Amino acid sequence: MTYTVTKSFASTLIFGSFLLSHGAFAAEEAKTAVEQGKELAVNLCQACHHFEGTEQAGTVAPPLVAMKARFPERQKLYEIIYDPHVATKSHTMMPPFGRNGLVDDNQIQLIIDFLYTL
Amino acid sequence: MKYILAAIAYLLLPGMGATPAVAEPSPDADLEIYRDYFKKRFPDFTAENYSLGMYNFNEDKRSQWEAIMDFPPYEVVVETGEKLFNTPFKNGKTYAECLQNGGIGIAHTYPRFDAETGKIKTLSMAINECREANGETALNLLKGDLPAMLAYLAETSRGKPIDIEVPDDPRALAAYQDGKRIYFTRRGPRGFACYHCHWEAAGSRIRGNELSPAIGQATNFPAYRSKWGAMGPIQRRYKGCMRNVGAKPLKEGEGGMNNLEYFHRRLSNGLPSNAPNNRF
Repeated sequence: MTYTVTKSFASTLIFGSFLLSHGAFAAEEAKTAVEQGKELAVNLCQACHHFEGTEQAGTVAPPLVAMKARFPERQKLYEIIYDPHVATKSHTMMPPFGRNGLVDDNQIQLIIDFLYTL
Repeated sequence: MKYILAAIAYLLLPGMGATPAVAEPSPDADLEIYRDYFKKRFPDFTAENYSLGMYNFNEDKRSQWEAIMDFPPYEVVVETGEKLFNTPFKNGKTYAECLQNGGIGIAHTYPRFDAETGKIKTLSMAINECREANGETALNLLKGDLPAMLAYLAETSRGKPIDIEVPDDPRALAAYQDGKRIYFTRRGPRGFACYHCHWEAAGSRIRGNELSPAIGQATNFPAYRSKWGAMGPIQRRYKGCMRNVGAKPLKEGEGGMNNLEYFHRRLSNGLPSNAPNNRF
């Protein structure tokens, strides 16, 4: 017995799977970089740093404000988050988030996207 | 001959191996430095303030704690602990026969350096040793009957100044230095050392919790913690804290953990024992 796959059936299948992968799980996809960065910052940074929107922020570290003005070079922020001990040449208690694999490079970029809105 | 002289000169250069290592300050010298540091950080602190710890920095939590202290949950545990402590073993002997002064008024001097083993012994371990010497099985160090007995014994030391001795024995000094090293060493993927929160950051807040200064913390243990719903020794708190910062907790009742308690309790030397106490 042979089956004939019609063009319309095939295109429905292809279009349908496209919809499924990009449409049905729209919740994850629709989050902007800033939103994703904010989620990460709330989970990882709020413990020590106060920033706008936090409710249980720590006071151990400087508040995160005027970040674009204070850190116009994106790479500088990246280096601080990646390894603050090296970037600030100090015995800071800030964890080396990147160096110790607590976040990956993409996540650092998302965090910076969010920090730049502060 | 000049080659030999040159070799000696080379070896005497710093780092080349023949120069003596920089001597660590003595435990007494350490304590002076640490007390001085916290005196500068918190110039108005009395002994009571040091014991209050985090409650110095949050009025709301302090008043909640004061309300709990009207009818502290630890009182029930002290009664239980006293009954357990005074119950003879199957062979008729008692805990009191194992311990100095029958166990009364000694808790503020533990942990101690044990010259026989060359290691640090906590009061919990002394209780378990007594059990095993009398044909009973050792109890869990962190939960249940043993912390209850510890609470009773701590109550008999209430108000006495913490007195952790580092005798003139190189093994005692080594244990103290090991505890100190652990205290100041970064651990776990976040690279937190004990001193990061409880030294420079004391008085600040991590997420929702104010950080207590290192001096004074140990005066409150064993403590009934609301979070545990139970009495627990300080090593249970150490383990919880290590987990909180993402580090692998040290094993209770041995090695580094005992040395850490030895060092950390000594930071509170001279402060009145305020145990058992209540904490969130």
